[in-house]
Amino acid sequence: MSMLWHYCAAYSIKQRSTIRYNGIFRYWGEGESLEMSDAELPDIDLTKKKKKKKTAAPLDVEDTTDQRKILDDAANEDLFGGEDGSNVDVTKFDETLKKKKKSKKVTLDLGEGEEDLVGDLDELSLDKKKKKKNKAALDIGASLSADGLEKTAEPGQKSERPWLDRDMGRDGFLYEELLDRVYAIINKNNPSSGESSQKLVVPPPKLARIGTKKTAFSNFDATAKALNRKSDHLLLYIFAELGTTGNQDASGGLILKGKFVNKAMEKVLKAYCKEYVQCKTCKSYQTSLEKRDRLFFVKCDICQSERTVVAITKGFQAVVGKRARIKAAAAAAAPK
Amino acid sequence: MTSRVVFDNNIDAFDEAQNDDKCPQKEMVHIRIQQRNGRKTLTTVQGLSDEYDLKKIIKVCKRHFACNGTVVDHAEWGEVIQFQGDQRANIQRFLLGVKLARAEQIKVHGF
Ligand SMILES: [Zn+2]
Repeated sequence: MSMLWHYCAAYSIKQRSTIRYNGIFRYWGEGESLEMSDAELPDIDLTKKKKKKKTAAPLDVEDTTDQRKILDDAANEDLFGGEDGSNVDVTKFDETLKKKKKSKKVTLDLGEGEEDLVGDLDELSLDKKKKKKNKAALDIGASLSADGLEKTAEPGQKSERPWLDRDMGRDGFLYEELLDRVYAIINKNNPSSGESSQKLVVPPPKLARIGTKKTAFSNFDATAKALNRKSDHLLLYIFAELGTTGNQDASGGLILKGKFVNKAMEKVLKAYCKEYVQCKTCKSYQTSLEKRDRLFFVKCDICQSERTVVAITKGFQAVVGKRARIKAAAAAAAPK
Repeated sequence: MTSRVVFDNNIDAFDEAQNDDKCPQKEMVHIRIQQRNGRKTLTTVQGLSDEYDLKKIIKVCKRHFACNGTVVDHAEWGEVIQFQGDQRANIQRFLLGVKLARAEQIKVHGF
């Protein structure tokens, strides 16, 4: 992606991850050997950088911020064309590309450029996987742990150009920010290629204490429905994992023996999703569970792949509570 | 006659799996937690190999975790260890540290 390269090269990037940097760059460069060492950097359009530095230096912050914004807008238009993404001249941002293609007399019209972009995006998604893992994760409500939420926050929610109100002379552009921005723009321009389809939004479990020994999971049925699973199956899993028993009530809730908090239930639901809902092939959550020949299969609605899953077993359950009563019940049940 | 899967490098995959490390632990170890009355809990460890002397394991664990523990012989699940309190993290660390089981053989259940 020559745009990214231009961006990175033209402005000083203080913190960057070399590995990812190279990886991304290779993908966008379409296999052409575009890797440059830092020593080569000064060859590329340094004027902008210098201008920037100068404007960042003065003391009155108001003025520079405005100026900076104007400059940034200009640069933005250079990179991404107009608001609608038109007038993108892909060739002019990459020296190497220009040199190489000069003989071929480049006429990269917009249509072609877009095609390239989409093709590259597919490749890119492989590279993206590691980073996006957090994003692809399911949202069990908003009450997920705070740090998890921080990571899953969409870059669009932050300021799109956070460097505008920062001391550019000192901090410069951060690689992460630029990367986030690129992804945000890519996702904005290619809504279908995003990973939104892999997201599963499950209402946060509502747990309430009943007395001192029981807990009500009031939106249990709704949760099972959101996961597209039979409530019996989920119920069995919850009982097995929490090592408890309970029963369903009339209003689609679940009464569990023992004290449990939301966080515990979220963890159990997440484990359930990972084991019995998520498609291992394409990571989507749009799957269905069917039983055939005494085996359970999870079938993906997106990629049609199937996998078997183990039946839920409670395993060993220790005897807790009134031993005498259990003994008496056993004796009464099997006298002869 | 049973056919066996042999990969390109001529290593019999099944042999490899069976002789792996000469570790007697073959099955999954399930570590579970159960609630008792009040804040009290119970940790159970199911699936440890028969070749291990569970009594000896308990003897060490009791001292290190500062809790009581017993072996329960269950008709279906074999010998199972029980500890008082939530010892899931402790017992997991112990099993890995003493190399009684590999990390992928341990499954911790519960919240
Ligand atoms: Zn799939």
